[in-house]
Amino acid sequence: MKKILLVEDNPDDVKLTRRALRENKIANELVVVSDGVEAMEHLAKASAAASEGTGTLPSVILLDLKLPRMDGLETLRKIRADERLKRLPVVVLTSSKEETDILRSYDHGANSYIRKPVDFEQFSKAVRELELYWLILNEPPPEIAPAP
Amino acid sequence: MKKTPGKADKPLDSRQEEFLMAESLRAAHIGSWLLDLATNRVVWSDETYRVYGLSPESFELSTDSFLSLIHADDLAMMNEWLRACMADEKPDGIEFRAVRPDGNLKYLYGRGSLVRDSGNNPVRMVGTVQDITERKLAEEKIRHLASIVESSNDALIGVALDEKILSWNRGADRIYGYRSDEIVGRPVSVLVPANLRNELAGIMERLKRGESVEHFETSRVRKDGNLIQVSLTISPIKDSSGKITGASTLARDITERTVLEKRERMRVRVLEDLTKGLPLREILTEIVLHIEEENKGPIASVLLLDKEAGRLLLGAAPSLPKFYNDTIHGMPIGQGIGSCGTAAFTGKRVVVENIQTHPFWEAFRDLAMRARVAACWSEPILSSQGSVIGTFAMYHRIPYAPTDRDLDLMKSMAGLTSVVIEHRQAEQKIQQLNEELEKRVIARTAQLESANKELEAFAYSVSHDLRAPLRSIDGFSKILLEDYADKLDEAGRENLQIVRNASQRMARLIDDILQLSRLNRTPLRLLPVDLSALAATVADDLRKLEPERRVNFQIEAGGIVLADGNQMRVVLENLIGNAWKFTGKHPDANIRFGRETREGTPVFFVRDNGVGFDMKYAPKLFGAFQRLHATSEFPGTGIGLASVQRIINRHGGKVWIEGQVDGGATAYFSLPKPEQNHEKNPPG
Repeated sequence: MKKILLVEDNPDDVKLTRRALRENKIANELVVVSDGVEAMEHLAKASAAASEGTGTLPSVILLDLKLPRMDGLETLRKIRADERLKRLPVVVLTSSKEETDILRSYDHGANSYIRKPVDFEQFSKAVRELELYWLILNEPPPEIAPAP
Repeated sequence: MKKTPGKADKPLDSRQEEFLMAESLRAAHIGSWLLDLATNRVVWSDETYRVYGLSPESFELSTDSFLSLIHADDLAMMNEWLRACMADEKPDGIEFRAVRPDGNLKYLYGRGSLVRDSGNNPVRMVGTVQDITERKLAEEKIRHLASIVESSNDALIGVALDEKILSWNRGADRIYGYRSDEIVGRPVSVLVPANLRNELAGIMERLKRGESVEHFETSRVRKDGNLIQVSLTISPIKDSSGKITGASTLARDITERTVLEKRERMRVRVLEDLTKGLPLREILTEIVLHIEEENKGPIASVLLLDKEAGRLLLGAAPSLPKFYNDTIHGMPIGQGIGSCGTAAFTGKRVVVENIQTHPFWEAFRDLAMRARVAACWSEPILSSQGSVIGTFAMYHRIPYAPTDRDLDLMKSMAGLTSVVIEHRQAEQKIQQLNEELEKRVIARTAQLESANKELEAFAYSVSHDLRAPLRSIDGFSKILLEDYADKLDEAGRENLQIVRNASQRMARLIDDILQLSRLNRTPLRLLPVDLSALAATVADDLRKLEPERRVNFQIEAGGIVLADGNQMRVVLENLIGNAWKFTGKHPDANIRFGRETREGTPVFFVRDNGVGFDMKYAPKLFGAFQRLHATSEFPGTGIGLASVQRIINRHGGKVWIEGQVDGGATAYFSLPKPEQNHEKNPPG
């Protein structure tokens, strides 16, 4: 089963995301961490488990930008700098549509940039399309693919 | 001489004598004349007629007609002479002037004597007359030349080959200080400084070879021992046989000229040093040392005035002792405080000929004594605006009164130092201003940067943090509506829907505010933009959003401008969006984008046949959050036109809207011509 890593410090948004997944009947595992530090810890463990064949890396990371301790851009930079993580699909999912946020995200190697809509119906729609694209349509790099 | 008929009182042999005499007189161009006293008849020889320029045929000779020939100024003299002759006083010959009928003036020399008969009675006067005009003129010329030589300012000296001085004019007196009677006969070498004796020998050698020396500049010694600078022109003098017998020397005193030339060179050097940026102290020292060298005796000093403190500061006084300069440095100015203190205070020259007796120096007599100065003249240095900026002073070791030349010199040097000081002060001022300006620019830039950073941080915070709660409000209201639908009545569900609408509206407001603030933060990127194509895209987007609406779009082609494409899109989205919105209730909506000319300049417009507005509200249209309609009637945040105005203004254009209630509205905007934009923002 493909899994999603959500890096999000706002519990409301976590709840809304879960709700949207459920409404869209997405059963993939959702792992939630609340900042960049936790995200990197989780990815390190997942990466180790994947190499041992005891676990998998997330198929997609939904990354907020404004985070405590280590923010989204810094996390993204670390992921891209890590030999085992650098090909992970990372979708920036954030409130802002400031040009600088968008540019920096892509500059740091984001695969996609999604702005969280205020309207929940649109939010839910966005989550559904995310799942459709990244978990179903998209062909992930081989190391993420679950062991055959 | 014509024979007087009937008066044969002489023997024949004496007649022969007379004839021979007349012949010799004729040969010598001497005329003779006779006056018979008994008859008062005058007789002239032919030569006499010639002398007067007359002929016996045309001139009726008498004593009166003779006197009419005499120059009016000489007439009295002639009458007196004739009287003296007649009285047998035997006067000398007479020089007089006669006017010939052709107007020519002749200088004549006449002699006359009384002839007596055997009874010793005077019977006639006889005499001669001679034309001496040429001799007179030659004499006059010589006198004239002599007076030129004598009155010349230059020295004209005649020197024999043995170097003895033969002649000496008044100019030579003046230049060398010797009188003619002191120097004539002495060797010319007394005028030559000991170290230049070889030079004299060389000059004499050249003269002996017949060569001249022209404008030779050298030094000579005056009688008083002072050295002077002279320019010499020396030419050999030859006798009638062409043999060189001596030399004429023309000497011109060029001491002052040499001094002025040197001073001028110093002045040029000083100005060069000034532009080279040499320290002020060094340049002033150069001036002071030059003046001391030029005048050999006085000590010079330059003091600078610290106007605010009212004190004198040492500028340059290299020849005054240190203890003296240390005392002067920081001295207050004021009436009676030495020469310089007073000159700086009054702005007028102060001349103290004797420090030990002058009241201005009462407090400084001992100091002056120790510094061995006895006279001090001080000239204020004035700025170009006429205010005192320092003093230029000259000191003497003994009590001393300035000459006119000294005073002129001080004035001239005060002028030069003024230029130097002012220039340097102006430079310092400019440098100071530049530094201040630079500091201010740095400070302003920092302020701007920090303001910009704050704005960025604010926008960042707004875009991230303000929206998150709205998402929760909307999201959880939705959850309530879905999960608790059975526990809510109609009113409860309606209220929750209001909460959701409000939160979504606030999200749009936040977006619009951010967009407006972003307009100021992002630089314009000017490129050719096809406004017509852009308008068509915007129209398409609107149609897709509300496909059920029927709106007739008319978009004129060819609206190409030089502008920021992203921002022009915002303009058209707002203007066409407004037109779309305000025609919403019109069954047959028309929206037109085009171009027309207003007051000679092309303007673009977006015209609709919507609800329009009352023109009295036109001024409020462009204010942020200003709205003319209820949100329920026409939704909107009131940011759109504020954004449009900001964008058009940043492009250097104007925007305005015309309309009437139920008559539609037309939004106009102008953009500067592309050429002008090109000039202001060169591509690349």
